[in-house]
Amino acid sequence: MEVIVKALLKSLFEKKTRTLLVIFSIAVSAALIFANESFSKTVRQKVYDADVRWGGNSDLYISTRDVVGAEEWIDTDRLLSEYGGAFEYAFQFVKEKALYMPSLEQMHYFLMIGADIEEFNHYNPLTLSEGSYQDWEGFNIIVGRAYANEYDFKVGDVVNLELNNAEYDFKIVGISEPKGLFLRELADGGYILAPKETLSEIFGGNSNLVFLKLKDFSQRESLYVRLTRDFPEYQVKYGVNDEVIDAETQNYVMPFRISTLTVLFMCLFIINTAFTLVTLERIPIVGTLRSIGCSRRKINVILVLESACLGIVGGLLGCVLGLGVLQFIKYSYTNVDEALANTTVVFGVQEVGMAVGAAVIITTLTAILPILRLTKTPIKNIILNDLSVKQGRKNFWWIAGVVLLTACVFVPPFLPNNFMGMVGGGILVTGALIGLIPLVPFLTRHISKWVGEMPFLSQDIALGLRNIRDNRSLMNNIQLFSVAIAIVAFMVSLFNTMGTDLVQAFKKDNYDIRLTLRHSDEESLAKLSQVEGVDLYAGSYQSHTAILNHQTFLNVLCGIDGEDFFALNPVGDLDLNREALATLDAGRNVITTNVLKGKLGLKLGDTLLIQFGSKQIPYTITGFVETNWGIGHVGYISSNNYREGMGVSDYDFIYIKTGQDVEKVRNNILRTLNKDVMDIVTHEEWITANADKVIAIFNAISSYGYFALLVGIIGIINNLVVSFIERQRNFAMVRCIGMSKKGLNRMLITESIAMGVLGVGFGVMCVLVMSSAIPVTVGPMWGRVTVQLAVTEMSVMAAVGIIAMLAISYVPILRSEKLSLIETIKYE
Amino acid sequence: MDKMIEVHNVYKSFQLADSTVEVLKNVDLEVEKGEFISIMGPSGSGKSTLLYLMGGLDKASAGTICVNGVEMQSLDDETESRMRRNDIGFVFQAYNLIDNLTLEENILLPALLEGKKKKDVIKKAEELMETVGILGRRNHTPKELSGGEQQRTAIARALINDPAVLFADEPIGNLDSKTGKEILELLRKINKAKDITILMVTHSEESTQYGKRIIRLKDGEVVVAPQT
Repeated sequence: MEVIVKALLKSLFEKKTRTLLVIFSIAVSAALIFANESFSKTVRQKVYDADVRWGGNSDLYISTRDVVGAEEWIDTDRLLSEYGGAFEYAFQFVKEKALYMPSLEQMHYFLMIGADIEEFNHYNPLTLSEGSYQDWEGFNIIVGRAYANEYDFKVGDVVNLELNNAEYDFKIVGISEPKGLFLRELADGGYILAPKETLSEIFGGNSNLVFLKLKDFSQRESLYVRLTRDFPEYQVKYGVNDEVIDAETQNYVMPFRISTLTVLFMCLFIINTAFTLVTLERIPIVGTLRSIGCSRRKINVILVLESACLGIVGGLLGCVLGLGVLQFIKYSYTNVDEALANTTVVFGVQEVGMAVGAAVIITTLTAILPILRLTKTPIKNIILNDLSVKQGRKNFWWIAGVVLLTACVFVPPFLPNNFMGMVGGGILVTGALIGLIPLVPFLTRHISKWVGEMPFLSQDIALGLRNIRDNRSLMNNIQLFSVAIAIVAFMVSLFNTMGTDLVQAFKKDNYDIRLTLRHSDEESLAKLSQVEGVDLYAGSYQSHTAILNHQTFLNVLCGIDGEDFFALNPVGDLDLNREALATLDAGRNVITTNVLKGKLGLKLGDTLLIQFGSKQIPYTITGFVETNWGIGHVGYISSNNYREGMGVSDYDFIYIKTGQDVEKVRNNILRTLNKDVMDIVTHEEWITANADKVIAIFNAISSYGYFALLVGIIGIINNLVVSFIERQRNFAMVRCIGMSKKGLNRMLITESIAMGVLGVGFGVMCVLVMSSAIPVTVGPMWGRVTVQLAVTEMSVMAAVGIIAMLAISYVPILRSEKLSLIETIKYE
Repeated sequence: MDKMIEVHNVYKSFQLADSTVEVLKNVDLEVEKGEFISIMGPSGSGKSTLLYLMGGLDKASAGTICVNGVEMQSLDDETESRMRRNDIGFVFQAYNLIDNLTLEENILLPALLEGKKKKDVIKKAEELMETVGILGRRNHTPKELSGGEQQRTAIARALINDPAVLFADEPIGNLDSKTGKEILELLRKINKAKDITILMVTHSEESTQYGKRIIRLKDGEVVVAPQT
């Protein structure tokens, strides 16, 4: 047995290149699986970090309400006297707005947190990149790196801030890394840490923000209820909801998972091809072993175990490669999501185990067929070197290919716009890819025959065209190439569609300026309406919250006054929802989106249990609109209901339409409302800031597909080398009967160009077919989309692909230069 | 008579690892036009090597070889290839047909490579197929034929461009004796009918009866090359 294993292993490693190709293909598959699993874990950590950046390690927190007339300070004595025994800690902070205004154009409101630094570090540890908090007293402050870079703050700088209508000079003693509270500073609007006593003195109170850690975590739920009941004048909030974290994680991870599936398909194909070649070359040794009495079963077991070992090697190598893939993903997010770019990559034994396990399964399953084919070959045929496939039997698999591609074109419009429809779309797309494989030989044979019969072609070119339909390795190359083109072009088109749609959604908005005021009371709004150039405005309340009875979230719960909001932020199907809009305030009614309708299987009249701060309030669905704002996780309720539920009074955003020069109107607003303006951004600035991020994310995801192309090219090179080796004798022969070297080269070049052109042609044809299923595949998650084929990318791929095939053809050409006619044709 | 082949002071050696192996040493011979020569010798005597040198499939280490008045050593690839299409025909032990072409296409190939149109040479091909006895199998591929039929096809292919010389390397080595005799008889018939010079490497003494002269090689040297 040992001898047999040794002989087989030796024969495997004699073909180093081939074996390396198999291991590399396995490693790429494993790398993608590893990267996906680790990325999922990393994203979950990132989402968790983001969600706890405010709450830290506390279990609950209490804050005053941001409503006119609400209590300004928390009665901490009452709180501690009644509940103090339940708390491990109750850290009392002050939170207030501080205005930084070096100029009218550079006005910015920070949220200032007054805290005892030891207590702060305990609840939400600080990571300073510069400075220290040794002397935490007086007017010393800590700022975050993001705004330090924005305003060129350095340790030691003195910054003038306006608090409570007076100006104060603060000294920067530390700059924090974007971690903890400062994790998403740019998105949150910026934080400044100051000594608690200083802020208490400036604002005349003890604390308006208390973080609580419980001695017994199991009491969290009941304590939340009791505190909400006993302190209705304040807001009581939880830390994080795990199910919501999972839902948010999926949104990041799902596109990468889709990419991985398609690339895995490619890798499977290549592994199978490589294994087929490897096993074919081992026919002689297997024949010898069989002829001396080794049973089929024994050889099968050894070869399957051998492929499993290759899977382990490839899997482990893949984990190492996977770390590189992870860094690539993180790097892709650097300019898009700073928090993710800064999150530590998380992986462990589980991810390594999954990657290696998957590699072993993939390798073993793909190797089984070639192994069985090998061991089933009669010994006599092996010894007599008669391994030809029986001719005469026609292959009708191409009909299945036609059926699968046709289905992908005609079935999608009949699929429902929900999760099942999405699954159906995915199946149709995969079916089209699978159907392409048997269709390629059928079409190649007919096309090459038709072109080869053209009278003006020289014989070497005609032979080249003949060879691509008769040689298995060359045909395999066309299949590989067309599948690779189809996969990459489809993925790029898919994400082009989603990305373009999202960018179009930004552009579709009808407002010119978006404004946030300190207080959007009647006086401020009256002033705004008088500003020259403000033709129309509509306020809205917006927050991110959970839908508790569906374990998902609303990216935007939007409180609106009426239809004016939609005049400035258009949505589709508005006409179908006029009545729902008119009655939005008639009860606890909510209009949501077709995306959520499809995802959650919602219908009119269903209830959404929405989280409003510390309360959970049921809302009845009265309409569905078409939008992919907030990736479709949006709910519209009346402003009154929002104010009542959230306990707020000021609009989060006011959208403004003008018929005049936008910059001029912006300046008019700043001059009129001055320090009341917390944030003002034009529509163009908003598009610029976000569109690039969207495109960057999708570019990162679709670049996964280029892994498939890379592996495909390696497979093609290998096939070309093998086909050369298989046909050496033929090449020597045609040279013997008078084909010149140039003629032979022309023949080889013809083969390569034909493979390139056909591969590109079939791949593009398949993409056009597969794109029919894009709307139904993404609709349930993304809303209605218009397919945007990646025409530019496909054209570039086509040109590069054909040039690459031409370049690769020099591999057999160079080998043919060294071909010894005599050694090749002599039959020893 | 005209000299068809002249070989003077030819040496051929191969490099194997650290040593040099001399396969042919100081070979001298001449072949007249229309002769049917058998080249014999034990394994490793250099007979196939000599045949391939004369056929332009390899270059001698030293010496000169002229075929049909053309000095073979100094030819470029294009000229050599043209010679192999038009002046020289090869028949191999393993037939060496192209598997994915039909018999007819295999036979036509040298003519098509020469740039001739199929319609101009198909009649000739049919005549050759008739001569060698495979006309009824013209649309079959090599895999569907017996060894004898494949070798007949190879002979027909070698003759399509009316070569001056036909080189045959153990043409009946893979055939049974009856078929082998048929092939040898065919070669004799072609030699007589078309006055084509034939050089045939063979192990079989019996085969030499079909030729006019025997050249014997031993250890890379010509032992006996009697004139007819």
